[in-house]
Amino acid sequence: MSDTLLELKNLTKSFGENGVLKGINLKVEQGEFVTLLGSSGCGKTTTLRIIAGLEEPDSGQVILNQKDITALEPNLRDVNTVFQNYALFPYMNVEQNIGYGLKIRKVPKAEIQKRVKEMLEIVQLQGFEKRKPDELSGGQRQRVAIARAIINSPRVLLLDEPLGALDLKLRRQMQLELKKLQKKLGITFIYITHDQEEAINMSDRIAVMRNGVFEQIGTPNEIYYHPKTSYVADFVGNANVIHLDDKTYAVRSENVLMDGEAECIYYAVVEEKSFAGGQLRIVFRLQDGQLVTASRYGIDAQIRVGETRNIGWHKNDAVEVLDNAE
Amino acid sequence: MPNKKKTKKEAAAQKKSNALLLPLYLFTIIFVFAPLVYMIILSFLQKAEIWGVKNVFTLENYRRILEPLYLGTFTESLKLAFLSTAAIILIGYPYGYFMARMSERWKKRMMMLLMIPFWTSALIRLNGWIIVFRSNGVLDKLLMGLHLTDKPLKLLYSYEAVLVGMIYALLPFMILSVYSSAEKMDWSLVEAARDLGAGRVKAFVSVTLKMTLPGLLSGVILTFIPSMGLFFIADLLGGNKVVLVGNVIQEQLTKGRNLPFAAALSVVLMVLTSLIIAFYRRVAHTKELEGMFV
Repeated sequence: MSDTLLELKNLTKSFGENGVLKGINLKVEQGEFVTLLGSSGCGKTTTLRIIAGLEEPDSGQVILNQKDITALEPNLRDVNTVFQNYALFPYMNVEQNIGYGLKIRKVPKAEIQKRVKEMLEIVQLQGFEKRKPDELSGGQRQRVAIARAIINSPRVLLLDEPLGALDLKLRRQMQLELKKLQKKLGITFIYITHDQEEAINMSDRIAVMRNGVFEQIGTPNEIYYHPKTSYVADFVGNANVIHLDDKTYAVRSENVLMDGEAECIYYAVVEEKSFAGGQLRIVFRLQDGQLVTASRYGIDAQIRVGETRNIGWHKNDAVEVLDNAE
Repeated sequence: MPNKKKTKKEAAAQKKSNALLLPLYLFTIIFVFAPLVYMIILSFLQKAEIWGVKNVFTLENYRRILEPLYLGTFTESLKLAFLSTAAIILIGYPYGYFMARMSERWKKRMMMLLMIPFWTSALIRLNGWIIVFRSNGVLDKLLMGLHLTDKPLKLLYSYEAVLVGMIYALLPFMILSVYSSAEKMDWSLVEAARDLGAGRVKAFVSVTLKMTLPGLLSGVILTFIPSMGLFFIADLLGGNKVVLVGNVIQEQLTKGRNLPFAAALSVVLMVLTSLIIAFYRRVAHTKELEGMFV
């Protein structure tokens, strides 16, 4: 592919005895929004740090724009990072923080001022120029961190759980803003999160990571509807992983049917019933002991814990997956 | 109305916390403020014939400080204080910085190394230096053994010996205060600077140095002030060749029995050090405001 901007080739990295990355391969196109999704300790931050140059891989290559940058110092890479804790310089005000990268590159003062002003407009922080980081809210700090990174017009912007410290409402709002910003700037984003909802909302492609390898790389649709492994099915889609006749299937909870329909061929006892977030969740126990969760919108008073029902699912809704649960 | 109630409550709480602070205030008044006032008053009185003071106001003590002999002592002391502080920064800053970057295990070991000398008295440790510096002492023997020199160097009772003694005595304070601020530092800031295009040196100057400046400054204060007054170091390693303000004060107090003059010398020394510290603060502060370190 000639459009490939960034390529990770067989990256490995260990800290002491601990193998953190065990052969990472990824191709990212110009302008793409790629999310590395995984639980903590899966190696996603290490991958990001290797791309930024803050960590050196034990083996493998990082190729940016057809050039091998594996051994290049971080300051010489066309890549910028939005750090998890933002890492804003506490003794500089907003303006100085944002202008830091240009000042280091000895860009003329007038030019810096102009660019900082543009950035403040983009991240909607006009009027905050003279504030210090500790006089800003979490969301505002986050915007400063983004502005400070994108002012350098990097080829790739790396974001390490940038929304992790924000509350849910602000997080949702920032998700949309970030996505808009990315489209507007046309910069390639590599985004780290452990939140599958965030990943699905924002990404062009998602790389699901686990124990130092990518389990599956694909569009949100592919990952959500066609998980390749039971881990991906569970982690990304919260799907039921059901073992039947030596095969493993992923069935999404909203696709579990109850009573009446032709596919309802399993006897199941209602184990648990709960209502949260506008959704009713019913946990069934099949005769062989496996648990299956079904979800419905609204409440249903007719279902009682302990009673037996017939459940099932359409054949198309059961995706065969590789069983690799721990 | 509820507003008024609240302020009443707050006032009560304020009163309570004031009461709790009382011992602190008392301590400060009795042991810091009162002696200071006493010293300043003393410095304007006349010396009595044999011991003590006469209650007669005079400026004579201050006039006497302007005599070349005493002025010379002040400039000498200042010079030594600047020199030793500069040397202490050069050795102590890297030491504290690298100590903060070591693993927990090594941090403990280095801290131990730093603390062990404090288990013995400073006077005894300085006597160790005498053994090193004296004619045909450890250093002379070493240098002659290596054929770097063929006769004893007469290192003891020299300006250099006093300088080494000062550096040795005060270095730990610099190391510890640099260490404590480097230890608290958020190293991701350095990574951010590198990521934004700063080379190693620039990242150090624009981030690490700025973040550890408070530690460096308090280290300077902790070393500069004592180095103006540590008379026993000059006594032991300088003999009568190096006379610092501290020595003069001590001499006037003991041999000279001139309390008012000793007090006047102390006041001038205090004002001088305060001014210099204010200047340090100023330099550090304005730079911080303008972000000039980048």
